[in-house]
Amino acid sequence: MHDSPVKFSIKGLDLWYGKTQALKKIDVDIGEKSVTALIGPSGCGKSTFLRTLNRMNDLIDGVRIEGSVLYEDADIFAPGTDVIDLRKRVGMVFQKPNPFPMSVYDNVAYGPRVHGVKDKAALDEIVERSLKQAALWEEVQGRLRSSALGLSGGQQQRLCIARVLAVEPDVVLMDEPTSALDPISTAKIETLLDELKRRYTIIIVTHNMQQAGRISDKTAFFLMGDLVEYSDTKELFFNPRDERTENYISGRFG
Amino acid sequence: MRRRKILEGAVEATLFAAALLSVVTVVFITAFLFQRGSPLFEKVPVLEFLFSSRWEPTAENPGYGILSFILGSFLVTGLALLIAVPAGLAVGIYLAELSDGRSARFIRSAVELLAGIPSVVYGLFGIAVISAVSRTLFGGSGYGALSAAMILAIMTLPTIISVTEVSLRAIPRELKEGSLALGATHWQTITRVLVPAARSGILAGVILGMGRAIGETMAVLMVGGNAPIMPSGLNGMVRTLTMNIITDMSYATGDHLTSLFATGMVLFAFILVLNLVVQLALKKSISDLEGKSGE
Amino acid sequence: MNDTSATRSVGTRSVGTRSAGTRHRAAIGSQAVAFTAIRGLSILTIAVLGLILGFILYKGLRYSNIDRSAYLPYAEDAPDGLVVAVNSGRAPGALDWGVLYGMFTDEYIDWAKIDGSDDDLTPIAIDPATPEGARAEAFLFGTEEAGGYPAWGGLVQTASTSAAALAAVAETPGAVAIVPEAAARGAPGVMTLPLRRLVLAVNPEVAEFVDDSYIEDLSGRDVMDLLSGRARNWKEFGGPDLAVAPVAPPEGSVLAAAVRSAGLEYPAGPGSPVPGGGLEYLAAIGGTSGAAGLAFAGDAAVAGLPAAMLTRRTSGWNLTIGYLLEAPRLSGRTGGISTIIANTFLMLLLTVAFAAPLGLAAAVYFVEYARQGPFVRALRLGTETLAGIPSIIFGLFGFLFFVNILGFGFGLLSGSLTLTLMILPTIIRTSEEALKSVPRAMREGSLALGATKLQTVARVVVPAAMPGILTGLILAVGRAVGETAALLFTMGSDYQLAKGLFSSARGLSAHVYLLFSEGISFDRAFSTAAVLVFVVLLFNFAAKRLIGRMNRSAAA
Repeated sequence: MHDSPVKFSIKGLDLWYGKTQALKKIDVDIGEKSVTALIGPSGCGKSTFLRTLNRMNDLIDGVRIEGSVLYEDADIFAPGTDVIDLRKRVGMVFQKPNPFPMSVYDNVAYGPRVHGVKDKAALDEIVERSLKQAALWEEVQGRLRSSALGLSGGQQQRLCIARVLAVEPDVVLMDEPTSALDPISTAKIETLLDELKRRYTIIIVTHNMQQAGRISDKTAFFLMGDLVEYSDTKELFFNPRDERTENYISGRFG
Repeated sequence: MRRRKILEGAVEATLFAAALLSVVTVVFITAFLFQRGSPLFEKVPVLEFLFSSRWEPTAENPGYGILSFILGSFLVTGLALLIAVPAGLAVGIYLAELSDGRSARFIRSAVELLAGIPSVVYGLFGIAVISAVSRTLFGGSGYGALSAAMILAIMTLPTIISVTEVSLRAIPRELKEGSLALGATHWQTITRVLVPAARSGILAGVILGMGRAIGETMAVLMVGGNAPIMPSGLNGMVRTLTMNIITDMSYATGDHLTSLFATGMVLFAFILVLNLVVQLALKKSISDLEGKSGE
Repeated sequence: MNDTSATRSVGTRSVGTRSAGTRHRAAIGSQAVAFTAIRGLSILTIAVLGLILGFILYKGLRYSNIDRSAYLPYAEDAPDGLVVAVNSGRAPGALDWGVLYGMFTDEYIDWAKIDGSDDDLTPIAIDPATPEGARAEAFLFGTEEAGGYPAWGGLVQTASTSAAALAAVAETPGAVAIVPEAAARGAPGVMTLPLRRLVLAVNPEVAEFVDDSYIEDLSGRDVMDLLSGRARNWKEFGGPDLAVAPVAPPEGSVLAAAVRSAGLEYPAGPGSPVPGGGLEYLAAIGGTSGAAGLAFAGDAAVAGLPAAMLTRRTSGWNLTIGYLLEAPRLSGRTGGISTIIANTFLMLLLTVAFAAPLGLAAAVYFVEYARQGPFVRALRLGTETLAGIPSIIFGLFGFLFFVNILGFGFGLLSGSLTLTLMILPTIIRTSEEALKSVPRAMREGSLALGATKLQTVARVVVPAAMPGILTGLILAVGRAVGETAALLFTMGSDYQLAKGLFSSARGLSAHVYLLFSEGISFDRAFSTAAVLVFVVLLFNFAAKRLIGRMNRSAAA
């Protein structure tokens, strides 16, 4: 089942928000340089799972986590783990584009700057490279100094991707990155993902099953905090092993 | 990573210190007022200080009784609220329920400006206009409790207006729609549903205004007459606690100075009680709203 | 309740409808009344605001006062062929006879009460032994045959000739001399001031207290009525029950000429001129019951005739460029308010320098770092309590703590620190609101890039909240600028430019109060208040603009 080396190895992951259990005994291995899609109805725990991988859930009060998440064989919840370093290596793109209220250039340069890059030439180089990787360079090269808030929604989301790429992560987590975008912008981002997976491990939460089918190598189906089924995307869509998966992909709930 | 931790810790500690400053200040104010004011009670019994109206601090046999100032403060504040509460309620209701966007914006900026005018300027206006109005309407010298109350009413109006508007706007729409759907007129809805639902918020605003009024110094000083005697009726000259402090502060020494700090203690105590009531009233109004939306 | 529903279900349909309709109409009617009242009160609020702002700004810009004076407004350039010579650097303007008299009899020692400058007064008299000197002496103190006698003051310096007097006047800024017109004409460095000396002299009986009544101040119109015989009885002016007897000055006298130049013609008839000279004329007023007639102030005084008080309205510019640019002198009685404006801005600058970082830091702590708990609730309660403390208490505290215990003394530093504590809660509250309005997504976006919390707050959250923070700061400073009670006993009241942090300094609002309470000048209090209101409006306007910009950029 593992056709590439394991990046994330999750064992017996339980997560509670206060008294509500949001994730139940999740066991899953995620391979590197591939696209893994997380699907399932709203509130099934897929976003929660995603946010666990770079410990963004730490920001929410009352979260309790048990089990282990190994990133490159190290438990990210072990005491003494450097969360900052983890997040630098495991980047994240959010559902709604969230560019900072500053210029396009400063948005992309933000990550390198907070990690200590000060040299102007180096920053220029990083910004250009990241924007090119995010397929945005052509569109914004003339307006790098104007506010990022003036870009269209699709451009803003690709800017957010460029911003993540600028810190040269290893893994990119994407939380429904196209759900707030129009179809043309969505298509552009999907094409981009295909490019990116050659260099990055991508884990993407999506509501859109066609999208999952188009872009992912593997798919995990979550339901009410359970990981119901995890396998090659084609396998899961055309030959689901679990009845609940079949019901979901044939549109019987959610 | 270690250095980063230390830096973050240091910054958090600094921020915490800044947040602590307010409480420290309150504690310091309380402590220093008490430390400088309470020695008076070794010479003058507390009850005499509070319940005698003989204020003759420079006499051979000095008298330190602030009863007339306490009463003066409450008289002026009460009269001011009597004027300001109905007017403030009316304007607040107008802003929240009756006005269209443009006139509401206009009135709101006017009210903001009114809140921003310095109290000495109100005082000057009081001397030149309010005292004359009061002289014509009610006779007397024009410098007295009524004039001071009129000025204070204008000064507390902005607080009451804005709190009323905010409390009314915070009421869930369904409440209003429910009443209108039962065939109640808009006015009936306002008086029987909206205002009662917003009453703890409005009450908090009124008490807030009351605190402002009791603590106001310059404007009442300029129009109140400032005679250290029992107010002889609504139109008589009046001296409030604040006026007593600022008038005598410039020349008082010894026990006299101590008695001014003691006056400050009394004023501070009144303010603290009012503040506490506001905190409770606000908390109640917040929990009221939460209770409603939770249902 | 049950009754009505029963009636309605049993009673005929029309009855039910009618009563419901009546009730409905009544409800609509009371609604109309209530809404009209509410609208009225709202309009009244605006009107009160307009009245206050308009009144302060108007009174600040223009003064318009009713002056009491015995003198008629008419001024003579060269009374009796003499002129009042002063240094050409003085401000021009007419003098009252009484002021001129006072200058030479030690009533004044400087020009402050005369024209507002602070030059010392140097009265110069020509030696009375010379003919020129004798003329001036007689002019000032009356002739011997009329009963006058010289009463020169100790300040008066003597010059031997009119030329010497003029030379002294040209050299000394505060000098004044009475010289013949011919001598003064063309003298270098000297100018002459016109003199008001016409008064309405009345028979002493008229000015007496009779039956609780006393003659009131007269207007210019009353004077005309009295002289022309239109007014018949002094009762009309609050005086005793006496018939008015106008007396006209002798034909061809200097007085008659002055009266004619003043435009006050006596009609023929009751006010027929008294034959003879000026002395007989004054004697006639003194000897006739109810008599009134115009006279020179000096002559009337020598003759022992009371002068009726007249009122006149004076108005002019109160707030001038000079007032803004000059430094105050004589406790603000004269000069301008430039140093006071400067002190105010120094005070605000210091206050912002203390309060902005502290307030922002506390707000960041509350929004970004504090976890809910009893301790943080106590901190918040402290902030709320601080916000409710009246400024006089802050004044007491500042006086105790900064001035005495820390030993900063009365000065800018003590004042600014006191103000800082006062505006801290406002800054904390508005900054908190601004920080809270920064979307969570911004923070997550930054954290997800591996930024630390501190980096996220400093580089993303605070910059994004900056317009809101600034707005709150400006509003708080706008409040601080009007603060008085807390500053009187912490910042001091020196109206000179502050020389340092520990230098006593007076701000605009304290100046307004002190001008009023020390009885210096009501007009000046208003013009300073107008400047203060203008500054407050400026801050308000700036805050509005910032809010506007914020909303626009949020929409973009």
